[in-house]
Amino acid sequence: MTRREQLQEQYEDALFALLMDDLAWQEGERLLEENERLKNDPGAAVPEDAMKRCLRVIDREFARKNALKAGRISWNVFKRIAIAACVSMLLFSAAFAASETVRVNTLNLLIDVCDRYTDYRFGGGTDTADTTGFSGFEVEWLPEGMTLTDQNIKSGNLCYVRKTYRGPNGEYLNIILDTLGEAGVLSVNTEDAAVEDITVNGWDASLITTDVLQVVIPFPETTQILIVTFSTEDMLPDREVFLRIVEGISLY
Amino acid sequence: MLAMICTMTDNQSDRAFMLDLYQQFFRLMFFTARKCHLQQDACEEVVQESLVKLIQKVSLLRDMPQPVLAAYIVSATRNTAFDYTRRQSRQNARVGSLDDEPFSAGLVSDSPPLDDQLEAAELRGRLSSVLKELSKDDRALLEGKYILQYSDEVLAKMLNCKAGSIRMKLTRARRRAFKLMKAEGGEEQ
Repeated sequence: MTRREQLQEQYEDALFALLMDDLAWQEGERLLEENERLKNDPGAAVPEDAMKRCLRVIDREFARKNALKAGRISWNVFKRIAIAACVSMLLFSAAFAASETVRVNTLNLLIDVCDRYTDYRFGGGTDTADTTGFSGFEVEWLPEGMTLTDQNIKSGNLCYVRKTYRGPNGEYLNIILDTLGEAGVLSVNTEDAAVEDITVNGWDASLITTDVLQVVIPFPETTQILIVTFSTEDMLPDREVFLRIVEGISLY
Repeated sequence: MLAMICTMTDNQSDRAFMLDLYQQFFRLMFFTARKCHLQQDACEEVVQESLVKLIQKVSLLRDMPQPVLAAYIVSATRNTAFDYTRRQSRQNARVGSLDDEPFSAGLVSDSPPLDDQLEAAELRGRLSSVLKELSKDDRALLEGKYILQYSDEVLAKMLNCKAGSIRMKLTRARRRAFKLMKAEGGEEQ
């Protein structure tokens, strides 16, 4: 291509860009009028279910963005302290080899993350005979109108407590305290889910967002796990309300 | 930690903006998808895919004046419907008219400069009707480039071709558009 041809092409590209920009304005004004007409046209109504599904897509996408951005920031911080981390690892390796207590605490909790689910299991080394686990929980705050509708309590070494609450607007809250022990595995559905690491009442937790909201809190010291699930029928579950419920759970 | 808090706050603000945008334009988006002769389920899928694409561009959308924003949203929805249709019917580059034309230096040098043919004001007036007459590939390419501001890589993926060939495809598409605009002007005269 000669220089003149190149310049001609650049000129046509710029000219077309200007024309399309003008066209966008003209068309846009016409589309705004069309939009107003559609808002008042019953024939252009969109099914309520379709509307809600699209709103969930927006929520899910922003949850993913949050998780990705948090990951990017964490990666940058990790790079800055890389040298210190290497030194720490060397020291830790020495301690790990030398100390039985360090080995036991490190291997207590294993989390396998797969495409469609995440497995939680507690490794060997925890002497559950010496560790008194939680035997139940109290929920100190609930949204107005929600009441306990079902529960299942099994006491003993493999303590299991489940409480279900329902609200007048289709709210559903399920809280499970499960004792996995050394051999148990809990699988949580994380397919197409946004998973965030959060802290609740000082506990390390995972917040899983799909069509429902879930928080999973493992307790390696007692080989127990707390799972809180919240959903609503007609609208998206409110994240802030859900986290307030979780923060109001006290274990005993 | 402060950076993470700011990120979370920005995302909440962006989310609120997107929810408001969706509430304002969802009927127009579904209407645009229906005009592309898609079934109801497919319309919903197209709108959802469009929303995901719009979320990626939220920082660009926030600064747009309302008319341009409406045009952008409709172009994005139409573009997504076009992409959806192509995926569904498993079209490849052979289907599109753009790859069938051999590269020819004559294409660039034979046509006289455009400003010798038409005044810019006339061009603006005819472009709107001419866009509808272009092939789907041409329209998707031109709208993708000049309204949606997609990169050559995104356009190449959309048209199932190499990024390096987008420049020539754009040149040909522009020339076809201008040819139609000139023909329209000739008919009016």
